[in-house]
Amino acid sequence: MRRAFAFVVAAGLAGAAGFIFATQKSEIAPVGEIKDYGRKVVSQGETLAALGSCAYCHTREGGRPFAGGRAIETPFGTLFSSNITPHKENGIGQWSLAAFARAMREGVSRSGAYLYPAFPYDHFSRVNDEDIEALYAYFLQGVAPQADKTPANAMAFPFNVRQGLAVWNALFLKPDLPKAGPERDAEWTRGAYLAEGLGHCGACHSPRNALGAIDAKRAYAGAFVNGWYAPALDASSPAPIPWTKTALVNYLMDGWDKHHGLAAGSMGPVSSNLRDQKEDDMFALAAYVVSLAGPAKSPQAQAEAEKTAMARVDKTEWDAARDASAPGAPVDPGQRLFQTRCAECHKKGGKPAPLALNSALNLPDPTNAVRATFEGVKPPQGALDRSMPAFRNQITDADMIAVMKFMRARFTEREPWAQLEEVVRRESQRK
Amino acid sequence: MKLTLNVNGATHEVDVEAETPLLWVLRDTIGLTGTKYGCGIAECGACMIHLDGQPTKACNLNAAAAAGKKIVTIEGLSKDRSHPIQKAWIEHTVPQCGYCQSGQIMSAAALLQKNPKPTDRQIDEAMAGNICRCGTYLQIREAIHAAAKIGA
Amino acid sequence: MTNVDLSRRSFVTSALAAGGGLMLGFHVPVAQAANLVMGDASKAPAEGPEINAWLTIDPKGVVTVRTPHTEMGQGGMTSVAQLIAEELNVPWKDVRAVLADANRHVNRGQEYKDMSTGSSNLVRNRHPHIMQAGASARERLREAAALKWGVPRAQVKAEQGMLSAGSNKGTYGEFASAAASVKLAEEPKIKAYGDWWLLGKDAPRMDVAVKVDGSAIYPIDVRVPGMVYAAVKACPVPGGKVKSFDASAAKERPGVVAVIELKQSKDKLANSDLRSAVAVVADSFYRAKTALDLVKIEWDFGPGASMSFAAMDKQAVDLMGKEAKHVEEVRGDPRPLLAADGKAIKSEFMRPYEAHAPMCPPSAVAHVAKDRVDVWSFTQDVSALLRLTANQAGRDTKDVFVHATYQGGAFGLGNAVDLPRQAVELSKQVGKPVKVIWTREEDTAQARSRPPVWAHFEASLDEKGLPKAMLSRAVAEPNVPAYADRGIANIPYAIPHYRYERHVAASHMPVGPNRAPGSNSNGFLMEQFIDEMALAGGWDPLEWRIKMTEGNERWQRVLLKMKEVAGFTTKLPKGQGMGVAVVESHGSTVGVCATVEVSRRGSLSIEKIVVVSNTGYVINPRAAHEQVKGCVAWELSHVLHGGLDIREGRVNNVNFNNYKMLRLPDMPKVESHFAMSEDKWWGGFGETAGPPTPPAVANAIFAATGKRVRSTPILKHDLSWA
Ligand code: FES
Ligand code: FES
Repeated sequence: MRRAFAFVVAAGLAGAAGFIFATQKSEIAPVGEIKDYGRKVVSQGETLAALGSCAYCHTREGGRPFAGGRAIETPFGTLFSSNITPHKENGIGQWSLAAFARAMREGVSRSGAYLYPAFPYDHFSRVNDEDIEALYAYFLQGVAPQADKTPANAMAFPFNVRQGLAVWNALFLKPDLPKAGPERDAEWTRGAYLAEGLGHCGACHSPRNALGAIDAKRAYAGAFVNGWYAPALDASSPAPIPWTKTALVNYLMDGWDKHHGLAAGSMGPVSSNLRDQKEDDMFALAAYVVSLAGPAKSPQAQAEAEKTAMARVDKTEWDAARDASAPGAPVDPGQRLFQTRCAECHKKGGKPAPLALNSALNLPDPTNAVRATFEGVKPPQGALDRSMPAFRNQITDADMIAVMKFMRARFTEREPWAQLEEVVRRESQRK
Repeated sequence: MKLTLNVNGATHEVDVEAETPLLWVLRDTIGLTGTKYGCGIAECGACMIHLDGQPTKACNLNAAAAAGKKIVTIEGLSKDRSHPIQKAWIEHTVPQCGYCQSGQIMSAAALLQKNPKPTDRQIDEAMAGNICRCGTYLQIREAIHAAAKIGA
Repeated sequence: MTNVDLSRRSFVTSALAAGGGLMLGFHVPVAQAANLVMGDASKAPAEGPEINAWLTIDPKGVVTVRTPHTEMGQGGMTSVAQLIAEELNVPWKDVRAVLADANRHVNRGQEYKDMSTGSSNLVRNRHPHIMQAGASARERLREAAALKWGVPRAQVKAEQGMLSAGSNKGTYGEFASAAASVKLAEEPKIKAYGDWWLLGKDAPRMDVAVKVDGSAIYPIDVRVPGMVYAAVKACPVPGGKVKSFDASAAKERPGVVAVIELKQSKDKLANSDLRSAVAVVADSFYRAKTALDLVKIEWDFGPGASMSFAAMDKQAVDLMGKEAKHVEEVRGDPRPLLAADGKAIKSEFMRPYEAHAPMCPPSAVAHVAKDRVDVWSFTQDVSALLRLTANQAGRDTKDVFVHATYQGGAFGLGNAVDLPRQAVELSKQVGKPVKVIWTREEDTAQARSRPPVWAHFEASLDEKGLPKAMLSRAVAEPNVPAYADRGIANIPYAIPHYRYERHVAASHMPVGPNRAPGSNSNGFLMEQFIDEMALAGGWDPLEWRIKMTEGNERWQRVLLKMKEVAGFTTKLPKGQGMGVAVVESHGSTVGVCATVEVSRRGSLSIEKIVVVSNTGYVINPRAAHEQVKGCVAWELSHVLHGGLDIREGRVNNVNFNNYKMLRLPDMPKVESHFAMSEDKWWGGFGETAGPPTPPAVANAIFAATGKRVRSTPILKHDLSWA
């Protein structure tokens, strides 16, 4: 249904010749000499590039930084990120500031071609001139040129007709920022700028509509991106203890918070990138993101929520003395597995955050929990001594299903996962 | 349970409980004591080996799960201490008590394999799983940079 | 040189015999034995005539030095060889080292004088007799050449392995046999500082090569034909005993040879007496360990079971408010002045128990055979190990053979465990060689930890803002209370009225030396209070220390050098801070300047540690700098993460998941400087840079945040400042 609708809209519009003409964008001339921006501006740009996690998409696994080539799966086909090093032929070495700014804000390349919104220019349109220029300085003068050619995209028709994106832009490109309200102070406003702009948090944490644009009504309601579920940040957040500003800053900068555990999946690299941001900026970002879940909780309400969750932790945490099954007694196979394979670390007083507080176990979909267990968790920069080994080769699908069922039932108060078996089978095949 | 393990290019038939951690099979059954026991719970990295080229903590891996894979231990890294990491380790006199160093070296060698010119930050990331009580961390960092130069 | 007879020994032809390893060729696989050998690129030691108990020289001139001290990571082996090579005057590339034979030492009149390793004693206190051994050998070589060439000894030069007089020339190797039978009328004097050619130079450590390819043998690696393995569990509450146990499930496990109760040997246990425990012996360690988990042991935990650290802390806090009986009236009497001063500064600090947790879990192999006993073990003193083994096996020391291994760290724990007794006893009972391995959990639970300490300080300032009266009152634990005195009873600061008192709080936890004992914890207390006094008096903390130690040459050197190199300042923006601290221990005075950053939400990063050491002399600068860095890392582990969690009488954080260690990403930059007095006193290097590190960091945190960290681990405190 979704695809069919997109086809009609895009093909219909792209078909009109007049439309094509009207939306034609011109090439911007190659730049000549670029002024020397100096170390300070270049390093500002580097920090901004980290905030935008540019390197994550624009570097393929094992590739050189910013040389592009990472495959990005979209419902419409596979895209490959481009080489954004200052290489003259294959990178952006010939781009002027104006061309760079147009790409960032309008999603149009120097040649005039439209870019796909997998590149989140719908967010970057909100980045101010100063920051755009610092980013430009960094990419042109702080990054080593690489000759890697960007592979051709594999997009299905009609999505391979880039002109259709003009419509998309007309519909979804809204470079305004959320309005500051009465109790929304300067910190919040700064946070909104960072999160809605370069930080592009919503790009992962929001469901998308049939055309792949953020579903404005359900912004931050959680979504699947690159095979991981980015949890909701709005009122439907699965976190058993509501996020506070400090907890979120811990999580973003250190990759870990005692009430929320470790940043995993695609969030791991994001958190690594945020490690060197200014702490004030991260507090601002946190102020904004926390506000997405509704008005701030009173300290008493927060304490109450913590108390309830911790009572649950106390009740459910694995305590060898209490839980080790008596010999001979019938035991749930999931529990037995947990005891032998998981409890060594995930036990009372152990190093990982208590499982009752674990977001992955509390999510509506088991993908994150299953993937983390199969693939292990490689810790982000700020939490380097925290990790989880990969169980892919060590555990059968049936064992995985049993242990996941057990954990969901024991550590959360949520419904059993309906899609568990399907997800386990899918994820055990993933290369 | 009978298992066939491929360690440092040689084939070993062993008969152990399937869940025996590879660490103890290497040390006690096969007799390769270069891989060390430090904690048994995947915290210290003393038992680091390469499993199909991946740095892996052998205390946390069932022997059965390693069957059919290529296992490399410190003894198999080079015949004559000629691996760039080993050369750099000697040059920079990294070891003190030396007990953690098999694991440190295996982690570092795996890092260079993937990333011939690691930055400090990449070194942090690759080496965070290895504890050294003697505190040779700064020498380790220097030696990895030096090894990157030797290797290049 | 009264105790060591350096006259000619019987002609032992093999250095290896003394090394201990190959004496038992049938026991030790050759590959393992060869690896006990250190030296240039770990080449094999050379066989050759023994000049004296300390060294042999082979015909090619390769000198094999026998090191009586355990190598546990601080480079003692290299130091001994260097001290000998200095006097002997041989090229460093021709020097090898092996571990000396304890049997020979114990049964032949202590010819190495002392085989223990610890307290940073090796170089600082033993260099005279070690150098003497080298000098004596050199003189014998000269004498042998003099006799052959018919010239007076004074005309024979001995340099870089060559003997010469006029046109006569020969190598040490050629004259080694002859030298071995020379008797000297008078022993030579050792060289003075300034005459050195090798000491004071960067000699690369000798034990490096075997530690990069997995071939270095630690006790846990020893494999002996027919050997079985044992896992042991002693009562988790120190002082408790086995009441009963049910081993039926364990006995059914594959490979299990025996389940044995080890009976406590004495009513009141000393360091290495056998404790009450249960052991499972099996054909592999993993099988022994998993079977041990199935033994149901009922313990009589004893009176310790009700103890918790929290309760001990409460008791200590209470005691700190009361005058104590143990008193040292260092100078004058501060009490009237303090009582009269309404604005006296008062402050209290605490540091908890810490474990050694050497990377190599303690392990020992023993083989009690009909006519001899062989043992390989975690130890810092092979001769003590030998006696203890003889005692446990009920044999004569002549029949006990201790074999050399490296030690995977020891840090003071190396003499304070009953592990070798367990191995000997189990081997005696099962009639086979037995290897005992303590799991990491057992090691931490049974450790003879670093004791905790509390201190209460009071001071009264004069009109210049300098203290005129000060009282320090420490609270120690009962086993080694004197550790609490170090650096608190004796302070270098010239305060006109100074008094020290000490209380003892009850505890059943065993304690022992742990890298820079006493000083390691006490510095954190004292040097923070020093900062409090300085700041209260309006002084710059570094200037205060310089002023208050005027005329104390050792401290002045360190402090003035610090001022020169560290860039210490109190004027950094909020969130950044520098702190200094100086601690004297093990004969050395060492200062640290720390630079930290603390973020708004309280996340701490230690940017840089500058260390200035005054150890009198340094014989191997490179090795010394490496020790400095290691000591800094060691103390940072404890001060940031450590603290044993003792509840119900036992240690609850027994592995690295909850007894956390510093890791590479958190290791700060360390800059190491020397400010040596070179004045005939020698200090240690293997532990002395540790103690001043924690207080320097804590002082820096105060500068950054305004928060005074009064106890460790630091990371348990909320350091947020905005
Ligand atoms: S022994 Fe495997 S990580 Fe410590
Ligand atoms: S060298 Fe001793 S633990 Fe690393």
